[in-house]
Amino acid sequence: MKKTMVTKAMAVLLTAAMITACGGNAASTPTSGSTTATTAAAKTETTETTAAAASSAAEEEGGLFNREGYPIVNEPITLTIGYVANPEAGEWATTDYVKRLEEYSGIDLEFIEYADGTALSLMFADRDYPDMIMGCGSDKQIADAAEAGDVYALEEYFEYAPNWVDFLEKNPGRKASITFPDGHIYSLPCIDERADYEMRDVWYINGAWLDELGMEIPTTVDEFYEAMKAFKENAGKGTIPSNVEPYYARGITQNIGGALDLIASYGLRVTGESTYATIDDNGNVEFNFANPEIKEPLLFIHKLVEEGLMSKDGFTDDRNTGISKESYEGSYSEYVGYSEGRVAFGPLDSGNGKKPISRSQTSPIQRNKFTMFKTCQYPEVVMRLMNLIADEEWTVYDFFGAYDELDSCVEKRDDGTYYVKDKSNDRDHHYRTLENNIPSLMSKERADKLVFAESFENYERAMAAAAYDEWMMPNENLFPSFVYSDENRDRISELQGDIKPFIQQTLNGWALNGGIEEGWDAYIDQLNVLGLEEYLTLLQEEYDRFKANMN
Amino acid sequence: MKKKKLSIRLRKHWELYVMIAPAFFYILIFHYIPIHGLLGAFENYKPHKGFFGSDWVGLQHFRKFFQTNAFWTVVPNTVKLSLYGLIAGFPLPIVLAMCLNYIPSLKFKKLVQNVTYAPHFISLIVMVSMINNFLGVNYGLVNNIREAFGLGREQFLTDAGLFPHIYVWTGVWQGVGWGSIVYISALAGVDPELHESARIDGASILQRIRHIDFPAILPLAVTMLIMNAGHIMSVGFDKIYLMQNSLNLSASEVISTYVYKQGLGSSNYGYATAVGLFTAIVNLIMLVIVNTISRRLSETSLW
Amino acid sequence: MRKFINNDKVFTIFNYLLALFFLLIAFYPLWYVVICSVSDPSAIVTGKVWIVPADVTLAGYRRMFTENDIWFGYARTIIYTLVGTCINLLFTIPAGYALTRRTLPFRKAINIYFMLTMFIGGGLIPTYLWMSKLGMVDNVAVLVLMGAVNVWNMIICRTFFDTNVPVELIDAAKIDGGSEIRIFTTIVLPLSKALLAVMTLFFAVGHWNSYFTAMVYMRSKSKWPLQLVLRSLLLTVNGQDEGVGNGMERMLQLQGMKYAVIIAASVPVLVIYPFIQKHFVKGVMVGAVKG
Repeated sequence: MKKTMVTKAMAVLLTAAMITACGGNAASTPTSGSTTATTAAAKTETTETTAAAASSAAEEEGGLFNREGYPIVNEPITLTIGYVANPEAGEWATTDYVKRLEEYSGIDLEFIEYADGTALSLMFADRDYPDMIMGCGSDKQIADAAEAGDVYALEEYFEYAPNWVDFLEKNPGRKASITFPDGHIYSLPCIDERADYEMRDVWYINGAWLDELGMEIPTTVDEFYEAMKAFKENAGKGTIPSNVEPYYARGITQNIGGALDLIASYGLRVTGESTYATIDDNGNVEFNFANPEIKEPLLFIHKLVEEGLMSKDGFTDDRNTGISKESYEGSYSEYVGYSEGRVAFGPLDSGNGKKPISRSQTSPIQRNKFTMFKTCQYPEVVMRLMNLIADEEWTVYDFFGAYDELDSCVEKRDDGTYYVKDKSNDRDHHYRTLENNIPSLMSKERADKLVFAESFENYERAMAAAAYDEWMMPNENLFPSFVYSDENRDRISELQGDIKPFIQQTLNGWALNGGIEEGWDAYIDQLNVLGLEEYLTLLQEEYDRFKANMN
Repeated sequence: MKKKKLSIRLRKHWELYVMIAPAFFYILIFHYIPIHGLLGAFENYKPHKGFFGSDWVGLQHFRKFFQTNAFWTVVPNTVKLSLYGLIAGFPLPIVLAMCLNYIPSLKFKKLVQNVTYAPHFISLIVMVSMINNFLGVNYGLVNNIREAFGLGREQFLTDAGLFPHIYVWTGVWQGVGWGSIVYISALAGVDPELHESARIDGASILQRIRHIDFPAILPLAVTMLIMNAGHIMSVGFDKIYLMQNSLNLSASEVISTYVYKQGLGSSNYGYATAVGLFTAIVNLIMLVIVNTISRRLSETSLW
Repeated sequence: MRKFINNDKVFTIFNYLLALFFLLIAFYPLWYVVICSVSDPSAIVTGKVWIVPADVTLAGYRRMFTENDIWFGYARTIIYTLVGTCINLLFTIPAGYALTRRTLPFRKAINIYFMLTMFIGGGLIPTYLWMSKLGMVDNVAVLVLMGAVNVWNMIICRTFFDTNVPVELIDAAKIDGGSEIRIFTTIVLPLSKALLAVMTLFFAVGHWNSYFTAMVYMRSKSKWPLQLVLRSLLLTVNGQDEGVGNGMERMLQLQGMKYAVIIAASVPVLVIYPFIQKHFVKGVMVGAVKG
């Protein structure tokens, strides 16, 4: 600590000398894209009071970095950022987004790519930290590093990140999500509150085939059954392929492409593979698959399988295979579908008197996208950089690509909305960004300003999200994503590791081969052997702590 | 031989010590020093406290491993794969060696030898990539063949039930030629006069195999078996790790991959070390047991 | 008598068939990779490639030549293999020889010292932390040093010297006043060409094919050996959990050249090995385990 103070002081002296030498061009005039600067400045003003109150570390004021305006630093400094290689994002250093970020902030960003989780893990074990990591780090890794005193508590530097302060103040739930059990915030999330992100799969049916058969889009489970039957019976006629798979799901509990949408139609709260748990109306943690009511939908699914109306292959297919078969699939769930003639539909009325449910995103907050280590000598600068990334325009840029330029992906309109063009679909487009690997901040109010072009792939999801809106499970019922306490973390993941495969295997088995009525009691017994009760107790304990944190 | 004073003998052999020195120090630095990390097996290891400063938890990690359900998948998977590999992979090199031993055409024999050795030199990365290409669902050769015969395309690579077969038989394919070398050299060492006199006595080739060749390679075969038994709890990490996917995990998760994931994926260093140590101990015990049995039965022993 | 000879004839025929079976089983997958590397990917997908290439094209190889990662990886691997193999030989063979000298004090203890490492080790993380302290992380030295002594190979060396170099020869040389190192270089090594050949091959192949050490220790892509480059090219994990997988286009490109890449990666080893092959039987001695 002492050492950093000395270095800091040195840096300040040096920069001061430099600035006088260069004639002091530090009067914070933004170089490019001035719109961003103004929004950021406006934001800063709103939180001025909090910032001023906490500003005791203002020693660098006007020296190395600027408290407001851009560039952030007056003299180029270098910050190292570690990230785990991901074929989708490619090399970060070469992205257009990073180049602009460097240009705009005046900071040189240097990247360390960890080949995989192993390399990252070894970095933590060795405490060989870069200045910060982005898009990676597990709760345990970060908590351990924090215990060793290696991680900055970010809230101490929040005066430099008004965008975050603003958002977290308005959203205590989000704040509770990212707060570690010791009460500190060690990492920032990527916030994505677009309606189309917060729902899970779109459930599709082939509307073109229905038209050919003169059928309506099904609204009840019975009509769905009739439609599937009709697809099968008319295989090879019209545009229905002879090897049609009427209903296609990749198993029961798969997060993407599983049969969960059908089960949720029975008014049952089911989520994908994170915890298998939801919150009931009394605030109690409930387990999704120990409820005898799931027998009914599973029996229906088994009926579909038995009558050849549901693909058996789907149960073992991987996602790419599922996507590649879409043109044979009469009905399926996917993030975005590709088959010709697809129509989003559902949820269906099961006739059991319960209101059908549309499934929500499993983890609506994507945590641990930025953590800063004590190796970093410029925490204030870094927090200003995080504030910039969480800026409205920079967030839109990160999500959809650059705008207001020739051949751009997004057009900012006078009414403050952003028109997202279909160019944004093309991820090899030269406006490559870091997407959800960095702490961008797409809050609800910002998301409301987005307007999608019809040709943009998210348009379909946005439309579906609007249609599903009234069926969506209230957020209060969703088991939130947050940092578990040190004592329970390992045990919870252990129990999950035991329970999940058993559930997957059993439910798939019932769907394929039947036997749910006979097997139910043994199934519940085995769940108890695997520690279901303990699992729920621990989750409840953690959830209660989370709730308490919110207030 | 009368023993001279130690210091004199040491000085006399200094050059030999120089020859051993690089290897000695290498082993010291790269193997023996890191062994202090085994302490982690008994600790709640935290990186910032180090192996000598972390809290001592005794046998807690071991108890935990025996109690977790993972124990009942990874241990059986490991034993299953290594036993299957042993049963499938052990006799074939002997068969190949015997077979080549009775090929009269030297040229043909050389050809078969050369070609069957070749797969041994293919890297595991390439090997696994070949497996994916042969068995892949969309473009794989095997599925192309199946389709040509009107059979459906199958998901070989994600089928947990098929994983042991794919793993073991591709291993056999890679190793059979190479494994036969030791037996070929052993067979070459059999006194030709034995064969000659047997032939004069009217023994058929099969009889000669049974009464001359087989006893000749038996000690070797037993030794190889013992060596393999010493690894019953550790199947090769690399290939399994590269072949794993989320769907075949129920059959492909073995101790070594479990340790790797626990230690590096979930940062449970202490726990992972404990599981690794447990494996090493079981291996050593197995080695001793099999060696003892073999010493009783065939007087072949490693030590 | 006659009956036996007939039996033997039948046996020989079956034996030839068996050998042929082994030959084909080993050969066909290799051959398939070769013909695929010069066939059009769509011909492979549609199952037209069986015995001979279909729609012959060198596009895969051409594509591969544009992938700089592969060629730089190739060059680096050649260097790592050369240096690493030299170190291996230097560390392993003299030590193996010295341990055959029965007059050496503490011979048994040193033997046990080496043997023990086959059964016990510190594991990956402690080794990593220690290496990191030595400055080995992201340092190419670790690639050539890791595994510098292979105890198993050392045992093979020991056995070879034990059985192939007569003690009398060494004793005679000693009486003539030759120093141990001279004896080793001028008498023992010339008698051990087969061993040298086989050890060189073992070590070189080991280096050529290794990826794990690099995966753990090498941070910079600019230091990656070929196998690690291949791993990222050939075995990329597809299908991210959220959103849509868009590596499709890249996957198709890879599809076109992967067989060419496999060939390129395996050729050096397969080229060297026939030259050394004739030493195999002599070099890999059976008694290996007796010791």
